[in-house]
Amino acid sequence: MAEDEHRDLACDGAGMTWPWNKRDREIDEELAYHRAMLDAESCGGASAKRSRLGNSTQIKESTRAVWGWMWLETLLQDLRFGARQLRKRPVLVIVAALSLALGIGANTAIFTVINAVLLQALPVRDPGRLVLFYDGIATGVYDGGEPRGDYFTFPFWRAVDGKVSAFEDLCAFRQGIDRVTLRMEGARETGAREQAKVHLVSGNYFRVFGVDAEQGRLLKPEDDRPNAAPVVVISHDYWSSRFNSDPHIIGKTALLNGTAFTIVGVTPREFFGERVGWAPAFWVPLSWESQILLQESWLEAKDVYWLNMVGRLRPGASRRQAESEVNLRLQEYFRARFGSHPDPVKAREMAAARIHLKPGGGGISGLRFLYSEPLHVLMGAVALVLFIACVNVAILFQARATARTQEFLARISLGASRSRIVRQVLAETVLLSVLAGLLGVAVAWGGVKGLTALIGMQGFVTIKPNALVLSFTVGISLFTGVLFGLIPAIRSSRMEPRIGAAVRSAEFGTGRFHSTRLLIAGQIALSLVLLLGAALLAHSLSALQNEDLGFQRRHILIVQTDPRLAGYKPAELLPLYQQLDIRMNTIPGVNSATLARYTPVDGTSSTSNFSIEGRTRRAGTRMMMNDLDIGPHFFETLHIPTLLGRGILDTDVPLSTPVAVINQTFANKFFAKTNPIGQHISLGEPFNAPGFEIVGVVGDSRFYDVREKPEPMAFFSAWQGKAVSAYSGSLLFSVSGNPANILPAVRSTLHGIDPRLPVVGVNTLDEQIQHSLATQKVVTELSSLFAVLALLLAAVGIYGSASYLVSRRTSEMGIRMALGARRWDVLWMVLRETVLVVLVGLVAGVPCAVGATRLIQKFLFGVGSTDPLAIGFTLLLIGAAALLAGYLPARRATAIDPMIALRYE
Amino acid sequence: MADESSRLDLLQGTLEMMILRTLVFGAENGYQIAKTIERLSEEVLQVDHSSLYPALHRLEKKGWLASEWKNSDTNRRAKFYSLTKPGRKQLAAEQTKWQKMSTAISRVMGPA
Repeated sequence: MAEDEHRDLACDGAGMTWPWNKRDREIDEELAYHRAMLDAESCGGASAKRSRLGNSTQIKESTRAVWGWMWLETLLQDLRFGARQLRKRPVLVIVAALSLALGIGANTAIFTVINAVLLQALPVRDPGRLVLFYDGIATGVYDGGEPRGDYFTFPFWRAVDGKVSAFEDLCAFRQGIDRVTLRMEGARETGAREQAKVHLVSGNYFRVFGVDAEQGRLLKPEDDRPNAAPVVVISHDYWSSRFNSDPHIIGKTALLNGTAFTIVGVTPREFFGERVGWAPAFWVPLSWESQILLQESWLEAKDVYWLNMVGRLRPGASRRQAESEVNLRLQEYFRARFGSHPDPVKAREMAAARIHLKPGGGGISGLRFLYSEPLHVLMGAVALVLFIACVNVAILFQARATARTQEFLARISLGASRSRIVRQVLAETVLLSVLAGLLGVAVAWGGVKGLTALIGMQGFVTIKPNALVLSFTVGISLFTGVLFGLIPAIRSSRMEPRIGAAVRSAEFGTGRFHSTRLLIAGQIALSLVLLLGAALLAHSLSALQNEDLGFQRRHILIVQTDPRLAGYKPAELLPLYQQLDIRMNTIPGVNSATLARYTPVDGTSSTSNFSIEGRTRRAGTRMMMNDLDIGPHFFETLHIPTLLGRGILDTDVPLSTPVAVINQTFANKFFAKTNPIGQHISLGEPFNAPGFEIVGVVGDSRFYDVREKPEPMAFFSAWQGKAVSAYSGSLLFSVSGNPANILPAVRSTLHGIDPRLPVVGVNTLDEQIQHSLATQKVVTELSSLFAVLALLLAAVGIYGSASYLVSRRTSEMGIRMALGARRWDVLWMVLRETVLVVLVGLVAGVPCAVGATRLIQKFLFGVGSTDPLAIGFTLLLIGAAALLAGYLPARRATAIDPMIALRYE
Repeated sequence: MADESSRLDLLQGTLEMMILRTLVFGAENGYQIAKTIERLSEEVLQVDHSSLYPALHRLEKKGWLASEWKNSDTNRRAKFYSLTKPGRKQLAAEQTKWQKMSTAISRVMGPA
């Protein structure tokens, strides 16, 4: 008669044998036996005793509790129950999980990229002890005006190396990577020239960075002496891709620009140099600079600034110590160079000169510089999105918990413990958060891939979602889920069940809804911030893309070649240039063609100081100009108007007068009162007769940055080859149709002139300009994405809480309509609340948004942060979305037959 | 058959002590233990069966009782408990404590 003999609570549906199952069955059996004996007693005895075994379920529970497996079992029960509850409300689950997942994923992706691009140290030994030489205010040191890394001369490095006690070692390396022709010894001489990228470094470079060879050995100081045997080190990546991980690579000879170098070692896989994003194939000792750059040696040049310097601090030495020592050496160097009695101006400059040492552990990164601000801005945006997502989850859970109050009350009155109820709700929210977390990982993975593709870093640095960040964001969402699921649950479980309490909606009133309203208003405000930012950025981008740059930007083809790589000596260049000029201009489809040392917005800049004949410059200032060597037809090709005089012509050859053409800004700044035509300028100072005669003034253009204001610029004839560098390899073609159409003709023309001339790059000017706007584009695209996301999330939140609101008042609405109220009145009654909340959010949001957009001032172009058009547009967009989200559930409710609504509870 | 008024509430600890005592004479199952206690106390003590089994399992978990499934004299399977060596030690300790306590209380209460 053991009624519960077969009721096996402990056995779950699958009949699995957990440890407690066996014990449970035994306990059941034990109690059944006892009961049987009692029954036997009472059956046989005179008086029937009450079964004193009591509530068998309770006895079973307390007996089982003794054995301590209970916690795990209840946990599993709670989880299963939670899962079942979630399954009943799939929409809620999907929305909440997706919101959180997007917030988590986006945050993780952004932070991972930030970490890799901005924060990560170089994969070298003890990067914290590395310092980078950085010029604060100095004379005799190239000052480009932007903190883009600072360059020193070879003699200066020699003067300082070994003389600073705070440094264990100090190395120097070429600022940048150079391209050379490559031929392996023993390989066939093919027509096509293979190219490779090399990095010129001092012999102690690898020692300073603390890198050990993966194979063979790395460069030593002995390799960097003038008479040393020529050796190079190859990078792991290049070795595995170009040479198929040839096991016999050590000892092979590589001909770089025709000079034979022996490969002595392979660098470890993770070492890519000191510049994030530029991986050279070979590292070559500095002494071979002139063979690599194919020009006269810079090793003795006191005026050519081409080296970065990085030092490793001795253990126990501080950066400040090193800095003061370095500056002492600097002054010694000046004295040695300029004598002990320089002129007063120079003396003043020397005294003011100072070298700063920055932490060098992060390497020199163009990307870092370029993207640091945008990434930080994006980080802020993404955090907002996560916040909005969490708020969404909070709202959804709150609505749900209130809806389940009846269920909770019923269970409490049946004897459930409050803590058990709370635990079960907790299990639900935890499950949800875990689900969101998993989805978030997937989003993060995709997000990182997408982001790195956007900023062009794929292949350079492997970026995997950062485990730390992931756990942080998952933790945040877990915390939110728990917090916002828990609070309403606790509140509900605290309520006292009243006899016959049919919990009516009216009882709750509006008090409990305040927090939800506030949350929604907050979401609206935040969405406003993001949307306004995105709108302003989009406006700026479009302005930038259509800005008049002073030259023609469409239908211009740029073909990059390199006479130096082809083996031309400076003296052989003139005939080449002349031939190029004639042949290029006769290609069918070409309106005009020209040649230049570099092209607009291609990332190159060239600045020099100069002097004007017959003028002494004001003390303490320097006359700086941008300079560019060009061929004939340059201004016609780019449609830059000639304002005075003429442009560069094909008569400007080495034997004729050296000439220069200046732009309007130059003329206004330096020749405001006189006619510049006929004046003479020269590079450097003091004036170096005969200098260059100014023969023309042309219109201003923005050569370096789309955003900048034009600066004084002078153009020299590449054919006269005197200015900065003899080699000009950028060919520009102005066409009528699609620039790509003439490319085959250009290639064959080049080949026809000289098969050795390589085509190093092809681009259209428009693409180049777009590329220079890449950061802006990335930031705009991403912030638009986030803004739309935020708005979507906010709309979902509104929809959710409006649905709940409406469901509470459905019976009321039914009553009103049955009493004769019109649909619209009833609709408005419900919508009123939503409208109010949205209005509050918008009003609060506008000042926040305007304040926040000040942070992105740097990226705005052509539009202020308070642009009324943008503000109006975003207000409209958000208002419309929010109202729609609130309207839909209300409309649904009013469409119901009033009789059904009345019975709705 | 004792009436309600003479039923004494047994504290958890004393129940455990008495369980240990009853098992000195040999292994018994839960039903038998309850019956023994009732019999030895001459029906004064009625064992609350809802606390009996938790107590038995607690004692088993602490290692003072060992258990074995055997066929009872009614030819049904039942779980029989027996004292372990630590259990015997524990019983001795508890008995001493109980003696001390009851002597002290008697002294306080004085002659009736």
